[in-house]
Amino acid sequence: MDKETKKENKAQEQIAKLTSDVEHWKNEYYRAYADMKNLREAVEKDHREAIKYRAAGFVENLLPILDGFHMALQCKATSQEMQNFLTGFEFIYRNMVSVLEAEGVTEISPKVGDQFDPNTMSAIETVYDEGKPNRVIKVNVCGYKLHDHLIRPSIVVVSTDKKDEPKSENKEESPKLDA
Amino acid sequence: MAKEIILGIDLGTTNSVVSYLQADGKVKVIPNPEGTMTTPSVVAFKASGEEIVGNAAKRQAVTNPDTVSSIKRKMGSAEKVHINATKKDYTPQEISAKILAYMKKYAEENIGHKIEKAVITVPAYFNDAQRQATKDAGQIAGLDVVRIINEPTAAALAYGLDTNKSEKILVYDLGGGTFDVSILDIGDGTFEVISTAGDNKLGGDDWDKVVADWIKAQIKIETGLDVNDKMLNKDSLMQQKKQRLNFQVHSQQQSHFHSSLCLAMDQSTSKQLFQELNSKI
Repeated sequence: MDKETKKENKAQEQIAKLTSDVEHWKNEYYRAYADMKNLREAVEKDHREAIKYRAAGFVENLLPILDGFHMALQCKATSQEMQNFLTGFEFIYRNMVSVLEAEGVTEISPKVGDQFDPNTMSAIETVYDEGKPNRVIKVNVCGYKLHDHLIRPSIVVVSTDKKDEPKSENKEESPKLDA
Repeated sequence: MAKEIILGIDLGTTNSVVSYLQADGKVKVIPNPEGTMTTPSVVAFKASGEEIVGNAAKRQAVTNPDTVSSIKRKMGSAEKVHINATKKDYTPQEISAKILAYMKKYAEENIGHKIEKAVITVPAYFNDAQRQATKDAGQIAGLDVVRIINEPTAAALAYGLDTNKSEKILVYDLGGGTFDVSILDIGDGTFEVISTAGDNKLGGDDWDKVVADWIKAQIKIETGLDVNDKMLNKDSLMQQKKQRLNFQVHSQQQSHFHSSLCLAMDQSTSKQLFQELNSKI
């Protein structure tokens, strides 16, 4: 092999290596670019979600106050003075609800006879009723949503067509561990 | 094409969590459609053929006897769960697979594309059959389970203990229904579980129950009303208050709870009282 051919072969090898390197780094670049693009999108999405649901904790803290209003407004007025108080309570309550609604809060207030929906309600008890199972029998407290996130389910009593006590958990006894 | 995402799944007895490693090296826990970071490990079957998983399944548990929870306790056993609604027997793997499939689905929706691989954690004391059952559950859910990792090892990794420094560490894992303590020997990038012990009937739920009993007693003292257990059901409002109470009690000396489930009532408790209440656990 003459000197020229050797030189040419070496150059070819170098070209092949450099081409391979370029390909490798190009792939690395594309991959890193895609990773960063995905990360940026994920961070932006998290940011949007954080803004959208920023009031969740605050709303949750307000729920006992709303429950208090609910209870007060269920009272029957026994005097004109009490009626005036209840009217005032209702006014304050409605103002508060309209502020919350503006923030994206919606009340979940099922009616007696409604179909039980575990997506928005939580059953705490079942009562036998052969005719209409899986219906709301009593609403203990209303639920609340912030946009599409459930802040608190509505707590309800539900009808069942089974006379036997339904099981709530499928826990099995297992030995204590002491490995 | 971006790096492939592999889900990290903590398939728990009470709750499960799914996460992944972001491109910036940070682990992101993926919230479920309700916005919570943990998903109850509960599956419910309805006569209509509908299957409910997670929070909704937990909320309907008292209405539906075909609700399965704590299936992790049966993993690796030949025992099957009979579901009346579908008139079928399900293996623990099949039930766990429904939890995994649910988490896979919402993880995909959150990330924006299909995910095929996952790493699932298991207790260090799980035997081969239990580990294989967990892997099978992943496969049934459409996941290629690339690794089964011991829970204490995953915890050590999460705290950045995968250095070359040789040391022994203790991992304390107090879950919703189980409690595990493990001692790990770390060095040269390897993790060896030297010893593991615990109580698979002790968890946060027990603390909740003690506080619930105390709340019931307080209501009885103040009003004479008997609050039955169903009113203090796990999913009730009262339970949510208790959970917050437990959390607050660790961070403050005083804590308040307000009950609007059955009556207007305001109570406060102290860290000392909380410790006294739970001293027998």
